Amino acid sequence: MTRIDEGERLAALKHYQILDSEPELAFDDLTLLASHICETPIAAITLVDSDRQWFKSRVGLDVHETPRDISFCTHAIKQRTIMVIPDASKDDRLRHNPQVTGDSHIRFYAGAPLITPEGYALGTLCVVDRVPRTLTTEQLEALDALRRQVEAQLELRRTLRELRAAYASVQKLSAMVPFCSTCQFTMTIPADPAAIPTVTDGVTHVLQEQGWAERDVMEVELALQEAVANAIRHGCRGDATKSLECSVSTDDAGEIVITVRDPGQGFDVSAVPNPLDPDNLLKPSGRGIFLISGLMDDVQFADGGRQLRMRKKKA
Amino acid sequence: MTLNERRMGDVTVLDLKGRLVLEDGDAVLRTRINELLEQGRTQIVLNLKDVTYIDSCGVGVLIAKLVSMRNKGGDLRLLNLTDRSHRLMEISQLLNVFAIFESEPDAVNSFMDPTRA
Repeated sequence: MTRIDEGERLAALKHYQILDSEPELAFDDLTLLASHICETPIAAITLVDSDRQWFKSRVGLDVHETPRDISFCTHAIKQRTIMVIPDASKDDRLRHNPQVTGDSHIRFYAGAPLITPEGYALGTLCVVDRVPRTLTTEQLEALDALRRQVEAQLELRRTLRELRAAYASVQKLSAMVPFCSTCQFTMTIPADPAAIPTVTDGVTHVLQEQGWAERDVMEVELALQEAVANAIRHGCRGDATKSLECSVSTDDAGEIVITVRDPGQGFDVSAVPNPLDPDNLLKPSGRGIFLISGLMDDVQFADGGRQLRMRKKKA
Repeated sequence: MTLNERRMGDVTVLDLKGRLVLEDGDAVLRTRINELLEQGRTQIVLNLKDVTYIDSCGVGVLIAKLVSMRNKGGDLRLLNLTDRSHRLMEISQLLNVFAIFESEPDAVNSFMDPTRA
């Protein structure tokens, strides 16, 4: 659906940050193809601003923008499909337009509206001729295909810009980590195994930035994976609507302390069988806590088994 | 996790790729090995080279299936342990429970030569 609220449409256009940008080959190629395929001397990618239409790309045109009140495209963006004007001198909306009556002598126009995924028509991919004419079905189909390519380029351009900005902020945050003498954060994690990598990857990143050895980082990561998986499986009984709390702190003495707290019934830590016992060695489960103890320097349970606290010193 | 299956005579080599952890990979592997058991294929080599992550749940599946295979007179042998998998097996004291190999021909041929397992 094409949205018609003009204020929102202009805000959407602004969001693309494309007005008055430099020419880009990706758009120029598509304009050139449109002109060749439709056999018109003029083709353009237009963006309809509040009081002008600006050409992101153009073939056969000398100006880079025109006033909106004489723009053909301002009509085309009101519809969803290609607007075809075989002879503008016979069209009620356009016969008195100076581009028709004046030296430009425009007669033929076909404009495919460029619509964002949110439904705002930003402008058109259009082909123009100085003599009355029509397009074949094949040419119309090709123009529509090229229109889709222009839309894809617009999205690609916007996404790339947003990704670059996001990446730059992540880099700035990351760059700060090595300077953090202490670093502490507390997370509320949904009891969903899919959330585990987010937590382990984040902690791994902090330790790597603080210069921990690869093997120690791996051990902390494994212990954290086990602790969170245990809390999900036992403490929350796999119920993803529940959540657990995890706090992580590292200090300038080079120690990491991780606490994982679940909302469950708790358990008797002393009753957990030793998985190394010959009777237990080949049992498929019951290794989690033992592994954590082997991977970290110190592991303690509190609050009836609901809270696990583990620490490890940087080598 | 994805599984690629290759058959070399009576030996089945499974190439694992991805995470072998709680609710991610564990069920896939368990199901596939159960199917192989039903077909009477009890000589299995698990290639763990591309297992990016393994936890006690993943180890649990390996243990459970090792026991099933041995009960049927076969075996589950491991190939190309990553550092992470190796460390987990080491702490769990399972390095001597599994037959572990670093070369695929060695792992496959070990089934033909009873002295090598």
